[in-house]
Amino acid sequence: MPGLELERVNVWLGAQHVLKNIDLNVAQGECVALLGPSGCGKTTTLRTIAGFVVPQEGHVSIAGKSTKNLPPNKRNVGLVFQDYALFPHMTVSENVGYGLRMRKIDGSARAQQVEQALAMVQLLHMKDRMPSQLSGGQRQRIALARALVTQPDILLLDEPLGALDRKLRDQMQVELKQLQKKLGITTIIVTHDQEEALSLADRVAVMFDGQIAEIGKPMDLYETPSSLRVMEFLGSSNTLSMIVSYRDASNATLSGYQRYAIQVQKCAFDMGTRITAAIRPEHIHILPIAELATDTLEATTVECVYKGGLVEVHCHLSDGTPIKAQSDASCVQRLNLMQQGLKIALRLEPSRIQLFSNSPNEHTHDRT
Amino acid sequence: MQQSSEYQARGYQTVVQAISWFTIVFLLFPVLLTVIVSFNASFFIEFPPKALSIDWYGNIEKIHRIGHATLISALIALASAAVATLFGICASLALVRTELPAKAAITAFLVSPITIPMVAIGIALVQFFILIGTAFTWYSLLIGHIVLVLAYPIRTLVASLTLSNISLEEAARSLGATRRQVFITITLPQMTPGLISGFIFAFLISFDNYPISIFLVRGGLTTMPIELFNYITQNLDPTPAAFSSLYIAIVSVIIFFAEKRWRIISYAIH
Repeated sequence: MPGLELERVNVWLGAQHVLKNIDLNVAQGECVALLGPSGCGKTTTLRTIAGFVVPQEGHVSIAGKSTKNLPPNKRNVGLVFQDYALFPHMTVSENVGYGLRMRKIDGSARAQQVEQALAMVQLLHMKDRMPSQLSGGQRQRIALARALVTQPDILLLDEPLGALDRKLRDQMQVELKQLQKKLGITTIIVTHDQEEALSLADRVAVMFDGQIAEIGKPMDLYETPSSLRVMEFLGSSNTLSMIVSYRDASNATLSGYQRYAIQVQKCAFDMGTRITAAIRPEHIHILPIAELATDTLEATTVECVYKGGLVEVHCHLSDGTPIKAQSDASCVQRLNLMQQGLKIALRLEPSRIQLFSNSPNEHTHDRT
Repeated sequence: MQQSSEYQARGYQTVVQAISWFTIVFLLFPVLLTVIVSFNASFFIEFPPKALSIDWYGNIEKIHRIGHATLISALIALASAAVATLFGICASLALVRTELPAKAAITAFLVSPITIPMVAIGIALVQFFILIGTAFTWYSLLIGHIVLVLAYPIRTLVASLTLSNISLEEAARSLGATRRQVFITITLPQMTPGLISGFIFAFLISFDNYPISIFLVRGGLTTMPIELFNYITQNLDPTPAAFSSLYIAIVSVIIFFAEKRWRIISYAIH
């Protein structure tokens, strides 16, 4: 049984075409993240699933049941808002028990289920507090308990960790993932934080301009994205404008507009085509200038940015193209990379170079 | 508010404090004077009083029809505040929770009685009521007062509804509540401070209104401020000061407890 199906969903808000032909199939128990910049339609997608937005075209089914003409209160969804939306005039247990109260579950049955839900998020001792007396992390857990106590068919999380500080966010990420797996509940997470999406979800759908640009497992999406836009949105990347200058069955040579060239193993483009080569900083190795060879590029250091554990080294290629390589503290010390204007050699892992067409409508790439 | 060092400079603080104290004294002085005069033993209003007494409080009943007029004022104030609050609930829901076109224009229209001189409203109302043949009735007085106080509950209710995040209502919906259940269990409790403060302010504005009432009353239909003013025009003794002091005391107590419980003043000046 599919957990959630969206079929050719189109939404216009006023004159604006907010969702364009959204197709999404989520398996029972799967966790899918909708990731994209603000205004890409990810929140509207979530609100469409919850029933607050009615699509003009297409349809949505939850747990195999069509949601046509179903108001939000009849959909059996669990919703957690970014601001948690705890009812400020009710205690923690009244908040958690609200969904049960609306389902006419009363007395000891309700009290028991509320206690179970609170125990699940380890906040049973807070049951008589008011929401204003809780910390951000506690509010988040109460919101989760309130959404889950009614045993919804699907859990919808809107920027669930957005309002928490860094340390708490990492902790809640682990807790959320464990809880989701334990309950086996179909889950949709809306987020603009790529780290949150990649770490929490089984699959990530990257959205741009009201469309799903690409959907896939986090690792596939990060390592071999189908378009330059997805690659640049997910994490850090370098892009180089190149021309395919030589190509045979097993090899291809790409030339920069000036002096350098790089070798790649697979290239789907014809000789003479102008393309964009992209590579992530962690796939560029920094070598001393003495080791400059045919498979390396000469570069000049500009700046070292210390990121705690890792160091991002900003360089220029011989024609001035900026390029970032990732390194560690020991390498920085060994090669004295803190020095500006130092000549170094960069080795780009050939298998990690992604090639993209320069024409924006074509999403051709070297993954075949 | 910006907390730059510029605003914490000594000179700046001194000026702000001086203006604040002057304003407080300016506002409080007439009130204090009224209370002091009400305990004056002399027949004529004099300050400072040479001897003190509470005799003038016993004299309040001598004000012509004061009991009857106060009762009418209270009834009119209760009824107009209740109706205005009910209208305010509907108006604020429409203004805050719906995609209404020309919201700013509608809001300006609904709160416009605050900006129009009361005498003008009074003249307009009495002409209108004479035209439709219901002038100088209990109903026309009530309608006049509803027009007068309508703006206050609208303002406080719009404020409290704006402060209450719509995601609360959506959360309740997704937890299985119907629209009606959401309104009763979530929206209305969230509107309570605005509702209470709007009601209290509407009540008080109506209760001591003179300039509109003067056009709408006649004969037995009379209100407390009108009888009080009639007494003042014909007598010079401090009886009205005694009545006013009593009134000030009661209102202060109501406002004090309402502010403590619902923070009504913060909503009224929002």
